[in-house]
Amino acid sequence: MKAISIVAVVDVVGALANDTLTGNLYLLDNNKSNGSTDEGTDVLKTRVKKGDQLVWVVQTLECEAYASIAGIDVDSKFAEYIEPQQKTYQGTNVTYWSATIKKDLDVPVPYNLRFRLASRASDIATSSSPLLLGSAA
Amino acid sequence: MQTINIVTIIDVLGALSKGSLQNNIYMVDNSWNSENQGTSDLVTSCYPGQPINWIIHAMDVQTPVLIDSINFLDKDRQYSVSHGFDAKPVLGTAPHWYTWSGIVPCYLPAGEYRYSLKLQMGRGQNSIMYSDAPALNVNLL
Amino acid sequence: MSQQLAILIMIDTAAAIKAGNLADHIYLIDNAKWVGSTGEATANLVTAVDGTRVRSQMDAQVLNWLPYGIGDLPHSLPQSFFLSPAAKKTINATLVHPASDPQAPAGSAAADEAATATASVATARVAADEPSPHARGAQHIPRLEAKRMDITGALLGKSKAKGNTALYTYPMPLVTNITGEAVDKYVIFPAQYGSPDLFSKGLYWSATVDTNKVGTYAYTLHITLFNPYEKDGEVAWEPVALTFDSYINVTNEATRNGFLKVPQMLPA
Repeated sequence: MKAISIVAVVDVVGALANDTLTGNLYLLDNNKSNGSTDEGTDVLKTRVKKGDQLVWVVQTLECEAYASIAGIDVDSKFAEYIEPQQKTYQGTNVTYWSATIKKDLDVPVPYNLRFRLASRASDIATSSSPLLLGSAA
Repeated sequence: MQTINIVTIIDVLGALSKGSLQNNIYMVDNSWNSENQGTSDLVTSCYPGQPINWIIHAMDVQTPVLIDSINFLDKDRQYSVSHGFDAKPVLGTAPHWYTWSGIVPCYLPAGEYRYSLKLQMGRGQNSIMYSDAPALNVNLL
Repeated sequence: MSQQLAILIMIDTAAAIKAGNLADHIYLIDNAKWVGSTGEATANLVTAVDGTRVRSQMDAQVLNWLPYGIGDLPHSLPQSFFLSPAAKKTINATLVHPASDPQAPAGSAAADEAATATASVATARVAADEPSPHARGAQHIPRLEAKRMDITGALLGKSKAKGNTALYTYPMPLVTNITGEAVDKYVIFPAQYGSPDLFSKGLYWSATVDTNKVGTYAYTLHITLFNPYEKDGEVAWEPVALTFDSYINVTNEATRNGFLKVPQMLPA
């Protein structure tokens, strides 16, 4: 059982100027030593095991820009493995998303991230999905 | 004659978020009799022969903004038909850096001369926006 | 160009400590991709610095380095979030309601002023326990402890974390110096700056660039990571100093007046 952090680094200016997260989102986790791949891209593949606790947080490139994760969408057919939920750091208005891996993954589980950026009225979502992967066979 | 600085301040994240310069552009100058200081509708009072510098700042220093061009509109503001204040943002490619320093031509008759600011914020399909709200008010010497 | 450049230094702290080097566990990302930076979110970032002046001397280019451990609590959290309950109580007792100071009743403007003055003293000396000569009267700000937390910000008691140092969030990586070719050749002038908060986390490294020195230059980041170990049943942190080379590419074009392109005014 491990605690795994996934940091979504967002180029807010780039995402707003292009209306897409492609090329403006860099996903990183701290589990490369155990087999995560595609670090620093928008299709990060995070290696997970049953019982692992995952936390998703955001960091913006322009440190005064606002960004938060509005949603993590996982197809309901994968609900037996994972159901991410939004949480708030106690006593603050800073949010994060968290999930516990309920069952060892025998298939890759793709997910999509939706972000709230600066004062944009609507969310902006990833167009290519990062993945969660089970243990290497 | 004293040089006039026209300073434009842009809320880049606000403008990119809303897709409009409306309420995200603030213009001031150091001329003696200008109107609408601090708004998008600055009317800069000047004389023929007077030098003017246009300067731009982003409100958040880590965000990018530059003046791509300054175009004076004709009387009917024809030029602004497609590039008005509320036009949709358009594609911006590799940035070109220019200073914008000019002298009000001596042959210019007195009157108000509206101009269009073309601004670029970053690079991409929504990175260029226009404001045709500001003007020069050329006085008689 | 007039935009300040930010270079995020993302580090997989535990993996870098284990490997004894940063190369495979560091990812650099800057906000200058739109003007030509390459290698974003890899160890091979080359930051584009465009020195073309469009205003005046004010156009001096500024670089800011921001280290971030993958696994850090978000840096957007307020600093007070990181304080232990005991430290919060201390601040409340000493700064917010300094009842012990008879000349400054709580809630008055004078009290607020005193609190501000004392706060700046506290900032300067949170790391030291001895009384400050600058403290007002007998007032003494004790050491402010940071909370021990996991990545959800939940407090970790001694028993819960025992034998499992991995549960702790690592202290944020620190940049301790910037040296190398770009510094030796006077291309960049780095220095550490402070901002007024209660932790050394308020310190950051920044540099101005002499953009007349066109070309690609290397610089070396000196980074300290902290490795947890157990000592007398408590977690302690051992500093691990590592270095890493990154690059800037300085370009500079002649300044051109836009009115030469669009001659609607006489170009000055």
